[in-house]
Amino acid sequence: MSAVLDIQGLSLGVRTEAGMAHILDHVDLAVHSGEIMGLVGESGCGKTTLARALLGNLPESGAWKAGGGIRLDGEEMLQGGSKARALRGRVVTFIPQDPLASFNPLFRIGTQIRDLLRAKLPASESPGGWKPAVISMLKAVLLPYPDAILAAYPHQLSTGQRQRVMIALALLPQPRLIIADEPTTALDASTQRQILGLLRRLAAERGAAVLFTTHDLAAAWEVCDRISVMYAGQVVEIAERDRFFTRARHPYSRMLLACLEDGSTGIPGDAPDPHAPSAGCRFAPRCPNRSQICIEARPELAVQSDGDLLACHHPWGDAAAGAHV
Amino acid sequence: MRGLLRRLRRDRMAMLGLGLLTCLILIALLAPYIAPYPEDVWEFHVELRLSPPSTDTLLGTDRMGGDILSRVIFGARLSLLLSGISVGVALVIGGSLGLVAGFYRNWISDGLMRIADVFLAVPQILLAIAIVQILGPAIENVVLALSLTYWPFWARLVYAQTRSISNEVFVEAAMALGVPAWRVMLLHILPNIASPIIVRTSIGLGGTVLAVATLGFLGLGAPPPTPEWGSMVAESRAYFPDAWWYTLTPGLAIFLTVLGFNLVGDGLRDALDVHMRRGVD
Amino acid sequence: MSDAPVSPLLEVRLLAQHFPVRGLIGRQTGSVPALDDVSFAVQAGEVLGIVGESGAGKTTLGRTLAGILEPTRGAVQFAGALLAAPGIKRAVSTRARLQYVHQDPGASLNPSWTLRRALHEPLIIHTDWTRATRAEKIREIIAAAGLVESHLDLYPHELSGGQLRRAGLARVLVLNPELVILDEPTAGLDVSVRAMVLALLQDLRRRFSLTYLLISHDLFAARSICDRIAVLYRGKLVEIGPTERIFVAPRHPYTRALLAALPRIGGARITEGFAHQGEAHAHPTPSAGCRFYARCPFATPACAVDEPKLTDDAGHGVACFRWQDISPIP
Repeated sequence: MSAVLDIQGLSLGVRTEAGMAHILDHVDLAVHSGEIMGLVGESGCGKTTLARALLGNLPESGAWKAGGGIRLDGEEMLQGGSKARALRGRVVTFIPQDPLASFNPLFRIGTQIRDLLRAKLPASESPGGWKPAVISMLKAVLLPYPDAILAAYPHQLSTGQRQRVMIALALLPQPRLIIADEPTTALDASTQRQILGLLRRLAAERGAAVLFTTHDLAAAWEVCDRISVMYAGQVVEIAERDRFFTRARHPYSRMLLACLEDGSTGIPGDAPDPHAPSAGCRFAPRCPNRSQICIEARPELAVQSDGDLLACHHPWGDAAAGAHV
Repeated sequence: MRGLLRRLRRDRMAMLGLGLLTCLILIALLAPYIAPYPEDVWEFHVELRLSPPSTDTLLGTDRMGGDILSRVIFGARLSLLLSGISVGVALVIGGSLGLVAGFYRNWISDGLMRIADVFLAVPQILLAIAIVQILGPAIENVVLALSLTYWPFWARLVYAQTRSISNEVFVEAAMALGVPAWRVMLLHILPNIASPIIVRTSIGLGGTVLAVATLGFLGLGAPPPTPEWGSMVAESRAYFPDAWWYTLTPGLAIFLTVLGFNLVGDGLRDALDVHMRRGVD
Repeated sequence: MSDAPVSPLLEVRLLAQHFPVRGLIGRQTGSVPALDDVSFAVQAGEVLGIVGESGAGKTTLGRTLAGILEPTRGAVQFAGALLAAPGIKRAVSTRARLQYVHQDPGASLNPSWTLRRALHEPLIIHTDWTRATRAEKIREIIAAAGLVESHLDLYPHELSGGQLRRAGLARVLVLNPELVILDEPTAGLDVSVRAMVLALLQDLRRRFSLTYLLISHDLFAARSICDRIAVLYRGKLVEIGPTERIFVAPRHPYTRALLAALPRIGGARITEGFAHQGEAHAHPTPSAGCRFYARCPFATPACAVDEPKLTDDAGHGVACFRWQDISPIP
C-alpha cells in the first residue's frame, strides 16, 4: 500500500525564553492512501505542531530546529522549496480547529473562496468559472442554501456551518491528504456527529487520506481506521482501531482508555518538560511498568505480529515486565 | 518582578535614561552642596556679567553675573518639583475620576468623559498659557495650569483601562463574592492597570518639564530671578550667539532631562509589555 | 408518625431571563428569551446536572442563580429565603453560602495577586477572623484541593493549568459554601484531566458536604457524577429525572436525539446512517408552540400551537405532549 504521507524520524525543537523546547522527538508515522489515521494525544503532546509542520505553518517567531523528513507523495516537505509550496493547499489541505479564525471577518465567504481558488488552482479555471464546483461541493457537505452561504459574512454562519465550508474547501482541490486538526472540538455533540459522518463519507468517496488529530477518543472511534498515540512528542503506538480499543499494548494507551471508565482518577503525574527531555521513554516517570531500561533507552517503534506498531519495553500484559524502579 | 528588572538592565537605552535621571535627582537633592556659587540664585554680580566659561565659572555667567552652572543646578530642583507636582495632581485627580467612571459606566461617567474630551480638544500648552496669562506668572499658577490641562488625559487613560479590565472574569468573580465596590476598584482593578500608567507617567514627566520650560520661556513661569531653565533660555536670546554658553547650558539641561524620562518610559513599556505577555505561545 | 418532606436547598420557580435587543438609539426593540419558565428544585447533598447544547441557556441559568444577572421574571428560594427575583438585591452573607465556579477557574484569580492573597480575600470580606485563623483555614482547603503551601506564594501566571483549576476551586471552598454552581468544569479537557477533575469534585463534595449544580454539555461528566439531570433546550426545561433513567430511557425527543449523538466506543458507528436533523439555530421557532417543533421527528400540528408543560411522574418530568406515544428505545 502506498504511503501518501511518510514521516521518518521527525524531530522539531524551538528556542524559547527558557531554552530549547524539544517538541517532537523522532516521530515515525505513515498514512496510506484512502485511510483515515487518527492522531490521538493530550494537550502539549505535539500533534498540533506536527500538523503545522506538515503544512509549513510553523510560527515565524522562535528559531526552529528540525531533523528527519516528511515525504508527501514522495516529495520532501520539511526543507520547503517551491515544489513543496505548490503541493500545499492542493495535494494536502487543512481543516482547522477554529474555523472562525481562518476567515477574514471583513469579506464575504464567496469572495474569500474565489480568492483562494485563484491562488491555488489557477490552471483549473473552467469555462463556467469557479462557482459551479464550489456550489456542488457546498451541497455535498449538506449546506442547504449554498448561494446564501457564499453571500454571507463569516460571523453570520454558525460554527457548524463554518466547519462544513472548511471541509468543502479542503475537498475542492481533490487532495491526496487532508489534515484535520481537532475539527470537532468546538462543536456540540449533534453537530459533531454530522461533521464526522460527513468527513468520513466524503473522504472515502474521493479517495483522500485523512490525518485526524484529536484528544477525544470517542471521536477517534467514530472516524478512524487506525489510531496513532502520541505522548510528549513521541509516537508510542499505532494500531488498527478495533485492536486499539480492545487490547492496546502501550501502558499510556491503556491508562488513557481507562480514564473513560467510572471512578477513574486520571493518570497521576504531569507531562514532562520539553526543555529537559530524558534520553529514554518520556512516559517512564508515570508508567506502572517502568524499569531501569525505560529510563535509559528510548524504545523503538517496532512492528508487531499483527502489523501494529509499538514503542515500549514492557507492553501491557507482558509477563516478562522488568523489575519496577 | 525579577524578570522585569533583568530585562530593563539589558536595555541599554533605558539604562542610559535611568542614569540621566539619577544624575538629575542627585543634582536636585544636593544642589546647595554641589553648586559652586549657591548665592548666585539671588545675588547679582553685574561686573561679571556675560563672561565666558573659565576656571571660576565653569559654564560662564549670565546677564546678571550669576554663575550659570549654579543656576542650572538649582533650576533642576524647580523643574522636578513643578513637573512632579503637576503630574502628581493631574494623575491623582484624573485617575480617580477615570477609575470611578470606568467602573460605574452610567450617564454621569459619560458626562465626565465628555468634559474631559472638551479639554483634550485644545492643545495642552495653549490652554496652560491662557490660564497663566489670566492668573499672572507665578509658580503656583504654573502648577495649577498644568494640572488643570493634564487631568483629562489621565482620566481618559484610566477610564479606558478600567473599562476593559472590568470585563475580566476575576472582577466579575470578585463582585459575585460580594467584594464592595471601593475594594474592587482599588485592590483589584488598579494594580492591574498600573503598567500603562507607570509608563505614561515617566513620559509625561518629561513632557511636563518641557511644558514648564515653555511657560518659563514665554515669561509665564516663575518671575525672575528664579533660576528656571526656560526663562534662562529666553533671557539668553538677546545675547546669542556671542554668549553661546548662556543658551547652551539650560537648553542642554532641558534636553537631557526630557531624554532621560522618555528613555526610561520607553524601556519600561518594552519591559512591561513582554512581562504581560509572559512567554512564547 | 409522618415525616415532613425535607424542603429543598434551592428552589427555582418559573425563572425567566430575557435579554433586551436594542435598536438604534438604545431603545429596546425586542428581547431574546434566554430562559423561560424554568422550574426545578435541588436537594441538599445531591448533584443536579443541567445539560444541553450551547445556546440552550445553561450558562445564563448559572449566572442568574449566582447573582451575576438579575432575572426578568420568576423567583429563586435558597434555604427557605428569597434569593433572586426581579429587583431583589442579594445579601453579602448569602453570597458566601452559594458560590459559582467559572468555566476557567484560574481566570477568577486576580493576576497581580499571589494565591495566598486571593484566598485571604473571601475570608476578609465575609468573616472577622484573625489572620492566623484565616491562614489555618487556607492550609486546610489547599490540602483538600491538592495544592501545597509553596503554591501560595505564586502568581496565577506561574501556576500550571491544573494547579490553576485547583486554586480556583480552593477560592470557592474557603468560605464553606453549601451550594456550588460548576460551570462547564470539564470543557475542553483531555480525558485524563477530566477524570482527575471529576474525581476531585467528588472527593471535595464528600469531604465538605457540598451540593452541586453542574452545568455541562459534556454528557460523560454528567453521567459520571450527577444524581439527577435536567435537560435544557432553547431556554426551556424539557426533561428532568434520575441520571440512569434519563440515559437508559429518555422520554423527550430532544433528549433522545442528544443521547443518540453520543459515540459509543465498542458499538456501531453513530455517524453512519442518521437522518440529517439540522442544527439548533438554523430553524426559526414558531411564535407559539413547542420550541423543539422544527427538529422533532414526532411533531404533530398540535405541537405548534401549545407549549407543553413539564409533567411530574414519580420524579421523572418531561415537557412533551407525545412522550407516552413514543416507543421506548430498545
